Amino acid sequence: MNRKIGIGSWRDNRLESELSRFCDETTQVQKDIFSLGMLYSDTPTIIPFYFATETTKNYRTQDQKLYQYELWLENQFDDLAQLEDNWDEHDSKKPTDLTLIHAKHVINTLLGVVTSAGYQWHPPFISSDEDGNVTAVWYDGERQLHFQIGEDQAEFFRVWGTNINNEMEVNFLLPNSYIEHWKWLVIDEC
Amino acid sequence: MNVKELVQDDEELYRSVRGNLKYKEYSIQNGKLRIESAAFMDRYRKPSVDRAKLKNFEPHLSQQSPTDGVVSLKTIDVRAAVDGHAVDVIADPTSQNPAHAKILIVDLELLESKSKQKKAFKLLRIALAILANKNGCIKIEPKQP
Repeated sequence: MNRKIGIGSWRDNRLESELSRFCDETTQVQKDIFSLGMLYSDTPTIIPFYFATETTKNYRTQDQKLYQYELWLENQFDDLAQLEDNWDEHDSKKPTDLTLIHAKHVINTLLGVVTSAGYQWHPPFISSDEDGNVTAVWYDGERQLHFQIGEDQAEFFRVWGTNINNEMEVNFLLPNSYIEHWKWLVIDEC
Repeated sequence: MNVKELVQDDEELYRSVRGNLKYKEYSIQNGKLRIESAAFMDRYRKPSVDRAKLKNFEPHLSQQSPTDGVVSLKTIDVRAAVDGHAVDVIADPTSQNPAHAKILIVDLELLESKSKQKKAFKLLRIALAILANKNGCIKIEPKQP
C-alpha cells in the first residue's frame, strides 16, 4: 500500500522525512498506531510521534520478515509442485495439488499464529514423503516437531530423543493445537 | 572372517548420504549441515548400511558416488531405538559387498495396517537421523554435485 498520510501541523523537516518514509509502506496496523500518535499531537510534541515511529518500525520489520517467510514458503511449494513420481528414486509419490494446497494452508496458518502470539518463527525443512505427503520439520535443540500433511488430514510427530517408545509422540494435527505445538518446541518445559 | 556372523553391538556402521540436494537427504541451515530422516529412506523399509570393520574403517569405501557423504552409527544405538530389540541390524553380505547389512524393524509386517508400518518406519528414520547428527558421526560431508 503506497498512500502517504498527511502530517498535520508538524513542520520539522527531519520528522517529515521520517514520517513520509515509513508511511510509504504503511499497513492498516501502522496507520492505526500513527493515528493514535496524531490524536495526541494537537500541540505537536515529539513523544507521540516517536512512539508511533518506533512502534511502526517494529511492525514494519515484522511485516517484512513475515513477507520474506511467506515468499520463502512459496518458493518451497513451487519446488514441491515440480516433483514427479519416484523423485527420490525410492518410489516416492509426488504430492497432489490438493496436498500442496492443504499443506500450504497449514504452514501459513501456523506461521500466522506463531508470529501473532509474539513467538519467533524459524523456517522448517520442507520435503515430501513416500506417500506424497508434505513434510515439515522444525528443530530446536534436542526437540523436533514434524508435520506430515496429506490431502485431507495431518499428523504431528514430537521428538525429543531416539527411543521410539518413550521419546516420540504421534497424533493427528488439529488446527486449534498449532500454538501448543510451537510452545512445546521452543519453551523449556516437558 | 565369517561375514555371516551376528553384527555385534559395538560395531560401527556406515551409511552413504546422497550429495544431490534434490533428494533432501541433508540440509544446510544457518551454515550447519544436518542429516535428514530421508537419508534412511528405503522402499523395502530396510535401509542398507556397511559394517565398518569390513570396510577397513574407511568410510569413503561406502560412498556410492564421490559427492556422497558417509555417516557412522553404532549398532547398539540403532538397536536401542525401540525397547525390546524390535530394531535389529542384520548382516546381509552380497558378492559385491561383503560388508552389507540391513537395519530393520523386526516383525514389521505383523503390524495390522500399512499405515502403522509406514509410521513405525518413519519414526525409525527420525531416530537414525538423530544418531547420524551426533558429534563425529558425519565421517564425510555430502556435497552438492
